Amino acid sequence: MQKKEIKKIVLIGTPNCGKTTIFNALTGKHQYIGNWPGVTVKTAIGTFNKFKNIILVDTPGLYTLSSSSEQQDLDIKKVLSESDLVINVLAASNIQQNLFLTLSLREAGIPMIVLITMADIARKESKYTIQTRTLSRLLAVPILGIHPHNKNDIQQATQFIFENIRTPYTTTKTMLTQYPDDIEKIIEEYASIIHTPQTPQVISDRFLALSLLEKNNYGIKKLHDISKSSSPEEEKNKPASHFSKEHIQSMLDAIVEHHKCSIDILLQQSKVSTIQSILRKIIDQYPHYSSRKNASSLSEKIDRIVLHKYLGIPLFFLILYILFGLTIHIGNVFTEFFTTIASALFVESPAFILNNINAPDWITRVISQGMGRGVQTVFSFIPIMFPIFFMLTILRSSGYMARIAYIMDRVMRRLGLPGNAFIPMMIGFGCTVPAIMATDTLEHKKDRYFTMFLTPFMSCGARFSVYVLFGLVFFERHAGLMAVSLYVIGILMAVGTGLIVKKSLFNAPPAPLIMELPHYHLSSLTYLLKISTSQLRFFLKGTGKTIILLMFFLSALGSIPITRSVADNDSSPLSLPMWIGKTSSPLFTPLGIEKENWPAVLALMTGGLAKEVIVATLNNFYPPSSSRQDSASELQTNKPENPQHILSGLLQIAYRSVLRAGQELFSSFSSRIHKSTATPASSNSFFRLRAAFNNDWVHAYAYLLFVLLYFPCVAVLSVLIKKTNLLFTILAVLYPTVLAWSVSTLFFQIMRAHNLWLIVTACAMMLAFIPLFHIARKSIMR
Amino acid sequence: MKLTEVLKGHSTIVTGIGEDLSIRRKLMAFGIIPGSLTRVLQSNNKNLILLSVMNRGVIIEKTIAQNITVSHIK
Repeated sequence: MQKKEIKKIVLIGTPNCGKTTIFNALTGKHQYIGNWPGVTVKTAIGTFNKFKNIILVDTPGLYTLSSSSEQQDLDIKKVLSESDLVINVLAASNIQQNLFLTLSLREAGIPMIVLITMADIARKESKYTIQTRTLSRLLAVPILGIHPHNKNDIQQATQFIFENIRTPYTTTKTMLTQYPDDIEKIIEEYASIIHTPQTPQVISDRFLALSLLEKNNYGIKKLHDISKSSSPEEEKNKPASHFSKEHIQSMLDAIVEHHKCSIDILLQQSKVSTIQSILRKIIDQYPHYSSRKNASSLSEKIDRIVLHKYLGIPLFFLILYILFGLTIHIGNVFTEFFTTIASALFVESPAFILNNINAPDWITRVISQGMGRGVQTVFSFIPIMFPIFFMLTILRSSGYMARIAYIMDRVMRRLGLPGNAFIPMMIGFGCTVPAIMATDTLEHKKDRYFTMFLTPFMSCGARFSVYVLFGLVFFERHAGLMAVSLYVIGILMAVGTGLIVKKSLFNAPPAPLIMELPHYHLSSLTYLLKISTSQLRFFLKGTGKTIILLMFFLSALGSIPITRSVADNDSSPLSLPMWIGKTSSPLFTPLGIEKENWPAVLALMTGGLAKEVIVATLNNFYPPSSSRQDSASELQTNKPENPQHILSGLLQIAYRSVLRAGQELFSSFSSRIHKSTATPASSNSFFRLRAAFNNDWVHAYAYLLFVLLYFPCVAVLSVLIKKTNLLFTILAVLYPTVLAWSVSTLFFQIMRAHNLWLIVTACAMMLAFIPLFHIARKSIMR
Repeated sequence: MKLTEVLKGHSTIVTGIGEDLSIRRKLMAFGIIPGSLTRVLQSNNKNLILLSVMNRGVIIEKTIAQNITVSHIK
């Protein structure tokens, strides 16, 4: 056994084996998404909580170490060769398939350990248990069985990893799979050509030889290239009969003739035999568990309903309705509570303190009305975003998300996309950035571009916060229906766009789909809460910085007059945000946004940075009820000099706010329980917002349509540029924005204004993109 | 017979996976190779077929499944 130091540990396993769960548990908060330098394999990198010099790398799920892409092949080998230890996560519930990857890793000869997960699922669904010690002996690697959600198991796994880090074991037993003699001979031929003593490799020559052999004729070509690239020194050390293309080809032809089967199938069949012999030794009931003809696991029973030809899609939309309906109701109940508490802490209290120490008005405005309102806005997202993340986590961890590919396939095919293209779109309901990144799972470039073009039409959680705000103010009991209608319109817009662009911009057949469906799994509440909280924290951290900074600048700029209004009867000073809003507002008049409603226009512009900022901007320029200001101003007028009065004033603010928040919470709860028509107290606090939109739901809905459809935020655009090109990104900005303007205008004009010219203009602008898509096709897809 | 001709609920053994190298590698990655056991779980979708392979659900497009030849288990 050899020993060496460890710096880099790589987690490798098949998709849905629990690899990322283990990664998250081991690294906690100490992780980030990154790329392994010089490769295209997307990895998450973290450090152990206690040992910062040990890096843990999570890789995408792999079924095999051989990829259909040459670049990805090289990248996988680079990742393996540069790691000091490989942790192979093996799912016991699918051990037969997982062992293919394990055997390949063992053949590579890299120091490795195995963590076995999902033993409980194997026991419950397939009624077998694995003898871990026997498996460890057969594979000659240390093995530990764990449950990734169990804290004690994770501690045990950490200890296990550290024991193997300090003294990692490599073994000479690299040859686990015994191939037929003629194949073993050609493996040796290949290995001798690949072998270069002057440049020792971490990965075994045998493994590299097998990788080439699997590629049949293409492998011969690569072998020829390797042979030609040998240095003169290496040439001397090669055996006399080293490479002759004809010699190798004749050997391969003889093998195929003898076995009546291609080389890649032969190699795979040998692996299958090896795996079956291993399984016979480690599973008592083998092979009976795998060949039960009438076996019908729980997952299959559920799939009979979930994947039913007629019930599948309605069930999916019902789940969507429950998901967003629940989120709206939970958001409605708790939003005011969080807003009130945050207002007391970050708006009223700082304002009171600053006023009482005679701070300049502009400082009070910037800190209290600016940054304070920004923090208040961030707090208001908590009751909205947490339910969304929680629901999406349930869908993902339960295994239902993968079924959506099957359910939505027929719809997606009409657009020219495979069914699994809907999964990134589904992720887009939470946040568009990870949704765009999830398109990496799609094989063809055209499918990835197409999906990235359509995904922003799925309303993200940030847009949802705007829907909740307007729902509270304008739609009350029908807020849930309003939100669902927007989501449906978003999906319909995506479908409509897809039908147009599939014949122009993305005119190519979709990639054939092969995909695994994981078993259904009910995660523990602790796990669901942990993942959702982690996602919420990540979301708040990212958006919080943007919102607070932006609110700081907006309120600072808002305090500084730069010019005077040139409108009749109005010589009031204009700040920069005011000037921008007022100057741009004529563009939005066709949508029903009045000229004086410039904060709404400004909010749309700041929403280009992050959609969450729309709510923050509206909060800044349409503050909540004057009653709150009165309670603070009452205290301010006294302006006591004695600091103790400041303290008593703060205590009074705190007391009144807690009382008010509690009353609002109780009121929200009881109005839902009793399904009363009484308006929740919360709606009254946004009277300025209601007045700005003429107290009219049509004005509000037209605004929401624009918010739904216009270009995504800066974070999404930066990811799009990285993954595609500048022209694609420009189109991804221009098209949705024009569409948003046109759809909102059409809605408002048809419902209220009836201006025919504007209706015609809106239609013409949408139709103008059809020839543009055809023209842009080649440049976009270069 | 082709896999696409197998009725729902029937178990079969794979006898062939076509000649296209990229499709073969995809199928092999999911454990679908000559000799592996498969059972058709759902075939009601126009484009997709849902199989159980090594006790695992796998969705395969019918255009790919047409390359797979099987025989019924006796």
